[in-house]
Amino acid sequence: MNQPAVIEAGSPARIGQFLDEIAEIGVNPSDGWSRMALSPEERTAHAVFARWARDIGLVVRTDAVGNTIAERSGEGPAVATGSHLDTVYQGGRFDGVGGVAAALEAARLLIGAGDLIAPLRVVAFAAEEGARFGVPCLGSRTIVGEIGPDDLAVMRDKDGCTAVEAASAAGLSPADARSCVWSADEVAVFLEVHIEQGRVLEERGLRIGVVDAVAGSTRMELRYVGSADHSGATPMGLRRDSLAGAAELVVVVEALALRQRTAVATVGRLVVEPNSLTTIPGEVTLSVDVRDIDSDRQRDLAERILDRAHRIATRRGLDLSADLLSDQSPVVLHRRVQDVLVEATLEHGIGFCILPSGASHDAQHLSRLVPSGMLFIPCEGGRSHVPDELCDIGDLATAATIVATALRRYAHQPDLSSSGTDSASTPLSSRAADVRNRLQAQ
Amino acid sequence: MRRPLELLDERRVTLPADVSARELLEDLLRAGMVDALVELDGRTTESRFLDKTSVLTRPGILRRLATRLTALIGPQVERLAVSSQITLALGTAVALESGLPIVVVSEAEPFVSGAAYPGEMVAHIEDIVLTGASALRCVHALRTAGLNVVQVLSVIDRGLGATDLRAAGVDYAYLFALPVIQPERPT
Repeated sequence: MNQPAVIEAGSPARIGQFLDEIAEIGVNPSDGWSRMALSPEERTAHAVFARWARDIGLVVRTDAVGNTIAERSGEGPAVATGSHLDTVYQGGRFDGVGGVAAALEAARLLIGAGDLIAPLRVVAFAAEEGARFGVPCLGSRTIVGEIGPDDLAVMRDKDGCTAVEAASAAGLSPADARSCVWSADEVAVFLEVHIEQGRVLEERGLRIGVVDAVAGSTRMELRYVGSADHSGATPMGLRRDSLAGAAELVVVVEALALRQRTAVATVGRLVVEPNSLTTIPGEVTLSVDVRDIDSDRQRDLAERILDRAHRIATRRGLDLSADLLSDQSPVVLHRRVQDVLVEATLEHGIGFCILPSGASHDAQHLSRLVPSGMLFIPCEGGRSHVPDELCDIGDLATAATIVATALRRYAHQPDLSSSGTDSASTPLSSRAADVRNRLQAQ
Repeated sequence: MRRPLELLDERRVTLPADVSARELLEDLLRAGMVDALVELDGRTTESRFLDKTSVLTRPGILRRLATRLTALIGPQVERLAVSSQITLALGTAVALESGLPIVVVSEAEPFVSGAAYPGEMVAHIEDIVLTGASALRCVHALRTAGLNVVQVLSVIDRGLGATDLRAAGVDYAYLFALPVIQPERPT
């Protein structure tokens, strides 16, 4: 199908204006931005998003767990884009928000092209960051049916507040979480723009990355218990030092992860009790975060870490217990969507590379239901989840242009937007049905 | 989501086999499905094409396939056989996982390349079996070379050739049955 080049370039000014408005919410002058999952600050940001979406002619609704969905009606399955507006504790300005800004701008460009037939959907997902409840992507995982009201009822933040209580306090109705689930045939494609949160693009001097896979994560909390004895009066041979055991494990975690090129493993949190200069550490709690783009290897590495932790405990006479905090599988994103993003990027003459995402994203979960793709833009020094997180707004505008171009291609080509054998409305799917009938006849 | 782990359990964070198999199939289809009109067996065409090169060049998928194919190999098998270039990647992965040696089979003389010896028990490995015709030709080539083909293994079976293969006296096993290749959402 012929397509005139009618997608205009995204406007950095509009994107900057949206970012500035969101940046007024949950800001602390010295400590960055804290718009925690399902907090009043997150809801305020969603209200700003809703206003911006209405201003470009979209109809806005908020689902039972706080995903804000802005739509324009049309024929067939929708083309969709979006990201999130919540942050970690003392996070930055661009993580998530940049993707929502790019999504709004892409929607404006698509509408401006004037020939969009498919429905358009722009989404601000709720509670993407796992920092508050220990579990990431609550909104998108509710949309694909992976998380229900029972799960939300047992997740607690550090003050003991459950996700259900937080959502209810924000005026949402988490008991109806099952009503948030999308059906597979209502959306043809979902695209997410995000800052890379790493240094690959910056090192290579590229402005755009097309993501081919998103790493999963297995997160555990381990607790070593020894004896909190006097540091002077207890000879070395009589000690049960839980910190020495934990320290040994920290080095083991690093060494094991270094053996696998695609894996990363981190001990990011260490709580030492009683944490006193003159007392042998009696108890240490440590977190272990294992990530890989290979589902088997991610779990194998976590299993090996548990084996080594157990061996260390046995040798040192320590007690060991462990909890699984969360477990997400990696996903390979749809190559067909990746190909369309690559074509759209090339069409605008922009250099790019293909790269996996080490961080988890809403698109990873949406991909279980909807053909999905992701674009990365560089962020300075790879810094993210910190107040001085920085990206070039021009790159967000470029990403918005590419997203609009790719979505338009989807919206105009039934061969791409058709869900194939699920529907009988396009030439392509009737061909597929024909093949199926003939196969069955044999 | 938080749950205590039993440290002495055999599988503490490892996914149940059915869950990880489903994930593998989903990854495989997402990585491999491209838009192209293809002729399957001279009679039928499909509008979506599973590009096996795109699948078998991804170590994250290849490794998981090799683990699961290795689990299907019969205890009597002494050697693996593969035919085409891209299947060699799969065969190599299974050889690395299982430790079994490998031979490359072709339909013309000399039929096998590699150190294969008459009488060896062989498992022939395929990526996708459609009608089973090319797999059968490989089985015959291997037998002509004096090898004892006891098993054919494939990643995907399209449901058209299993009977012929079994009639040829080989044990046939596959990881995924896909009579119709769904675009991205396996049922």
